[in-house]
Amino acid sequence: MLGVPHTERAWRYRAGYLPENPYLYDYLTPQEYLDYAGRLFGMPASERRERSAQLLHRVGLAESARVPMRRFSKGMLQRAGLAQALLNDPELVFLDEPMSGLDPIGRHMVKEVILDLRSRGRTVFFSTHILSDAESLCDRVGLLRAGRLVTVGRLDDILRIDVSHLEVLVSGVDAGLLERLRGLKRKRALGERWSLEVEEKSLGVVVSAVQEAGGRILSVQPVRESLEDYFMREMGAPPGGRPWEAA
Amino acid sequence: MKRILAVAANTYRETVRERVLYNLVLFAVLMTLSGLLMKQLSIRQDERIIKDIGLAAMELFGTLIAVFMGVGLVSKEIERRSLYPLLAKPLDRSEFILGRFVGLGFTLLVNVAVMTAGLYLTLAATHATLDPNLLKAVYGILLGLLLVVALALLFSALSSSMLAAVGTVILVVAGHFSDIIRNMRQVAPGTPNWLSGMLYYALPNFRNFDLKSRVVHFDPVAAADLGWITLYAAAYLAVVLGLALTVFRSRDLV
Repeated sequence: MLGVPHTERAWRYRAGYLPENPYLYDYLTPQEYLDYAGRLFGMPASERRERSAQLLHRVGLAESARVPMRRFSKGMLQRAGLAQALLNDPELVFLDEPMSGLDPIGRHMVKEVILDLRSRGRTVFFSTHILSDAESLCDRVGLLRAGRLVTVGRLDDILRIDVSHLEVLVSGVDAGLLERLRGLKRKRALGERWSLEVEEKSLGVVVSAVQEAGGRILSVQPVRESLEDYFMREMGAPPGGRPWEAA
Repeated sequence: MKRILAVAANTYRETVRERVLYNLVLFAVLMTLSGLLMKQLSIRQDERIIKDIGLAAMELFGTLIAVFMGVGLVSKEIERRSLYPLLAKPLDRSEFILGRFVGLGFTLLVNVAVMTAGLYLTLAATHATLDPNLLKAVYGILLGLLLVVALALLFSALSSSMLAAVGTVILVVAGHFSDIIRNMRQVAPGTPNWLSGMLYYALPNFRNFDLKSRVVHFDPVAAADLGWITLYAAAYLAVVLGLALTVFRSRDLV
């Protein structure tokens, strides 16, 4: 681990860890917990104070720094857990479901923290069930199935980067026109608008037909394979079926 | 050493915040009541009874704290999973075990110290002699309590809080009645000598630490006696804590 045998203590000075649903001594305040954790790293008192204040501010707990954690919500505990994992400014951070129990603001904050660590050259290893989080934050991903590593690699290598189709949002056209259009893979009504899945080569035909009929093109979005698509494929979903039905 | 002290300080803080020291209030009430009631008796009698009650309460409350806080020292940390972020830091399992022992030991020291002061105050209030030899009995109680903490810690490192409590209570009770174990043949004639002998020497003998009746009845307690019980406690503590460290180091926490 970090060039040191995992049995040795040295690497733990350079690593951080946030367990899933952390329990951090409910009789302590987050400030006291961070102070305790700082002592275990051998940090001097002034550094412990300074670093705790900085991190509690970073995770949005500055105003609750002196409130016993038994009064904390799940999301607040998660924030305190994240602060303790970053106390020693680690080179390698393990985060187990870091966004679990957090509200949208909290999730945004955790994402920012992870991106900030990445920009400073730190390695963040985190587990999640939210594939869009992994896709938006990770350089490399690994997929586990029943505790076994199914695949691992860079996102660019794993996902098909070719555009599979285009998603075109239109308004002011009727269903009859859309029925007659060729190159349309699927259509979905969204109130008075339609979301159309269009093959890349048929885009020109579809756009002209919509405009000639007096309709409007609201947006055109290229769609590539997402991590979720890949996950469903890799987890062995039978054709037309769902992964949980696979053997 | 700094990490052991950090764990110890947090353990002490835990016991304070879990309101463990509230037993001192009960002790104070007990002392006040016995002080008031004993005024009815002759001076010599009331002095002995106050000392008896005070020392017995000190031992009983201390044992309850040592057992019921001690059995959670490791097992509760594993059950609540609070141990994992700590062990991911540069804290060795042995430092954690020793820190927990020192922390609870310090709580008991504070508890016993305050109770001793309370006992002397009660004696002073009833115009009894403030016999410094009482401190020798208190010292014996404290050594016994440290041994109870170590045993609870060993069981706590081995199993769940519930099983640890059962195991510790059995050993502590057996240790208080070690003479019966030695003379087991009188109670159960079929018991082989080697078995009763082995149990007698293997189990902690808490009677060794009991200097209460000697002190209360003004029998002298020599420095050599204190030295002997200190050695006995130190040897036993070294073995039990060594076992606890070995067990905890080999325990799979995943």
